[in-house]
Amino acid sequence: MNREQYQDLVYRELDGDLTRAESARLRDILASDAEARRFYEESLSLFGLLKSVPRQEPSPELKKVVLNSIKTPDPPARHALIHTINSLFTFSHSQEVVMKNKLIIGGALAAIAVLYFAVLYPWPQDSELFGTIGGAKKYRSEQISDKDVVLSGQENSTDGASGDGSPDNAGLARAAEIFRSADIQRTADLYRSLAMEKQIELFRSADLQRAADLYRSLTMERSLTMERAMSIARSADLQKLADIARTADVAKTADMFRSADLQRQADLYRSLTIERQAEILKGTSFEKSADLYRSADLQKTQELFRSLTMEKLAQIYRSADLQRSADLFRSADLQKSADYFRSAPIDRQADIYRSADLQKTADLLRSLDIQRSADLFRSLTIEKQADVMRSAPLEKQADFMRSLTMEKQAALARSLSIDMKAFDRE
Amino acid sequence: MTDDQTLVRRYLEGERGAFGPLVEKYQKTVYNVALRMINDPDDAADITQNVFIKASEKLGTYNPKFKFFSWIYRITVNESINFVESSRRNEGLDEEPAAGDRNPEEILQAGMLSNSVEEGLTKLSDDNRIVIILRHFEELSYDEIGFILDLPVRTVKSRLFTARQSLKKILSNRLEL
Repeated sequence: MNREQYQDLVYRELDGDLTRAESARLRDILASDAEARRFYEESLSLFGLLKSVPRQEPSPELKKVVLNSIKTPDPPARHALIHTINSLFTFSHSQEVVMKNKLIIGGALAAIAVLYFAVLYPWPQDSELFGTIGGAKKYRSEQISDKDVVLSGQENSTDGASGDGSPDNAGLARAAEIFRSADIQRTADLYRSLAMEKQIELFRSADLQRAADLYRSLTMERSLTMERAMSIARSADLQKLADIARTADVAKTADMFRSADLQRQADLYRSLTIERQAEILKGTSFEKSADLYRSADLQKTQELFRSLTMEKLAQIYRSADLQRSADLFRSADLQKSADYFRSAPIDRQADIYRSADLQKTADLLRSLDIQRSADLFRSLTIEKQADVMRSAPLEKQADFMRSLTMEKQAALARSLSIDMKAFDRE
Repeated sequence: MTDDQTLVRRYLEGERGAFGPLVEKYQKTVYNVALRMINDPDDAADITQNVFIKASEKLGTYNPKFKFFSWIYRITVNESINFVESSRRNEGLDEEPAAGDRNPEEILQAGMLSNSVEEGLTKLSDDNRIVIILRHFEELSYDEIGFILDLPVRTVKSRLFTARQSLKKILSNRLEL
């Protein structure tokens, strides 16, 4: 597969457009090709950045202006009248010949009328045009900018800001000074009033305690975008990042987590309580949950998973709902899946097991002890049992067979077209 | 909540007020698509206004077997592209004032803007920019994008590929991807 082909797969994977087989193929490529992994990482970042761009609110006045520009629709009766008039002026060929001369006369009269309206008739004033199409006023709203933001009481602060507190007047350096020294609520107010680029710049310039306080304050109000969360994740030191992650809004923590580099992710994840880890999983979309688990599908997942204790991992799995568990299971690497399976209660194992793809099912079965394998095997449909049997080594096949009732053994044997004596010999 | 088709029918039957909920529902979408295409809030508001005027005028030609939102997207895209092309003809869209004409604060702000995703978008061709907007900001499916741009799905995918590659190249220098 050439570079362009795997790049196309990466984009389509992130779009959610790949089949399971294509996804598996991509994972294989990522596992063996460092350049492909780098491309995947970059693409993930690009998607994250694009997703972080907030939608803008149009001015509240816009709707009014738009509606004033819309003309009143023609009612059906008027439509009918127009239709009637049109039909009156639709002629057969012979009528057209007769009408030709009349049209020439009509044209001359129309020209006179145009001349009258163009030269003698007074043109309407702007104020008379409101509500019409041709003369609709173009909407030019007053855009809200940081110039409009005056922080109450700022004149009493000790930061040396200008009297009106406008960051635009103060300039970036002064805004940074305000940002560093004002109380946190005021800082948050100021922060919200700035353009995003400026916000990021200021966040980077803040000391960590300040950044953490601000982060908490903003996420409580859900006014922090992912891009800002990402900038924090990239620039904060680990201890502070962990503090932030423990106390901030769960969804934002998940975003931040996803954007951090691998080492930081693993460190951060370890620092969280299990409830928090589970909360993050429950509070985010599947795509993000899978990202948390997989990070970059393979390498990151493995390192991240290795960094967790089995107990924590099992707790996380158990706290997620079944569908999510099944989805996560499908996306996790085998060893961890097997580890989890061994610690999970049998009913959940069976549920997840039934939803897993064949390869994983077979791999998983091979990794479990016989009693558990047998329990799981019994919970499968006959078709899946047959699939598993075909892929399992003979010794396991015999174990599976023995775990079934005679009746089920016979059904399974029929679907496999095998001679049961082979297992008796075993 | 009244659905779009009902509102359209009521408007065509002469109920002017039926258009209000449609504006309410779609103005933010229309405005944001235009804003990403034009990168100017005032012009985006103008385009929003034009889109709804045009929609009200052409509502009789709207085919109810298609979703109303796809139809309004189509008008928005056409209006935005027309605007861009006409601006380019008139004054040159990418023309920026010389650094010597700016004060230090403006230069600093311009530097920060150049780091933004929005700025990166403006460097893309119109065709590439619109697929990025529809897929990533509006989160539309390949099929929906194909309908709006009147393109086969295969072309949508290949255009998205090209657009993402270009955008990645533009942003990689600025955002340390």
